[in-house]
Amino acid sequence: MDINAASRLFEEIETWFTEAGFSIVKETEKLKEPHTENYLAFLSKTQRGGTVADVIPALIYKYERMMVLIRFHTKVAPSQMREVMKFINVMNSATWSTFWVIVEREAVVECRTAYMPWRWKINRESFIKVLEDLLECAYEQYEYIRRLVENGESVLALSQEFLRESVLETKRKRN
Amino acid sequence: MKNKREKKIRFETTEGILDVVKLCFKELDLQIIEQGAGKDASYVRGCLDLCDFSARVHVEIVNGNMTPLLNFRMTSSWEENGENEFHAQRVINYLNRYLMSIAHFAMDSDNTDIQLLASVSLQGDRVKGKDVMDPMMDLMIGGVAAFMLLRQMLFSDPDTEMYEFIKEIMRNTKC
Repeated sequence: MDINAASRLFEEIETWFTEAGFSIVKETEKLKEPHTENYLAFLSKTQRGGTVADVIPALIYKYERMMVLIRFHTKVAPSQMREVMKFINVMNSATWSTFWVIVEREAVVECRTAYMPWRWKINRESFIKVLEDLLECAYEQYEYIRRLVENGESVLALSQEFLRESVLETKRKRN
Repeated sequence: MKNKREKKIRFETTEGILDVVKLCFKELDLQIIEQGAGKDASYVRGCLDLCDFSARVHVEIVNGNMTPLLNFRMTSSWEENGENEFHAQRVINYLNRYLMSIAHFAMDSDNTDIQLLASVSLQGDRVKGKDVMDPMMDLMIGGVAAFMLLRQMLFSDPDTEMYEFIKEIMRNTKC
């Protein structure tokens, strides 16, 4: 696995945001966290339609794969936790390639995807495509979570709407 | 012997890739219960029966917009009594947070079965047997290990015991 190639890709990530219609809120920086011996990660902040998200691409050394995390900061009241957890589960059971997690103590919901380098080589074009798809998908799906948390819409109604839309989304991606 | 076998399979076709998946099923003693082809995908379903764990495995090969996709789902039932559904969702969320994986867990909204889902992009000009076999084996073997620990976690205290399970899973799985 070429760590330098991954690092170069992560550093230029901002150019792809702007091409995809997202604006930059904060310049990309290398993350310095306690577990840096396990992974290489960068952090950017991007924005669309007033919603800011952290974008964290990471190379996990042990598994020789890359992860991209799109992190939305949102306050979920303890009384809403069950509902949000339930809805995230509905989304996760309907999608193969992306999934959501909630970090309860940090008031964060996060959409993730993994990218497996092909025969240990990073394919630049396919990684960019993965990132663009994830950004689109994360912003689109986060809107449901926002409606649940901020507007108090019902899990049942949102789930039904999401499942209808996600079928269309899958078809679109497949074509 | 292996070369001869590979020559017979046309990996560039959906059916060819699915043939490799069926070889994986055979090597792991999975009984094929159904196979077929739809408009967008070809699929195979199998049944895994170990002495203390059983699961249904569904693999479909979809023609993605850039490369073929291998979608994987392993489903297993558990004894859910209606009271611990939220606890199970918390456990699943916790696992998904720490696995940094190509796969994620979710609970089936209809019947509370637990699923492990993953999507692998089969990149390159020409897909070879190894490109399909390696992720399939990781998902199958790692998936069973992760499922076994998940079952123990379902009956654990998420705030105190969870991290020990995560360490165990990270040591033993690559899915």
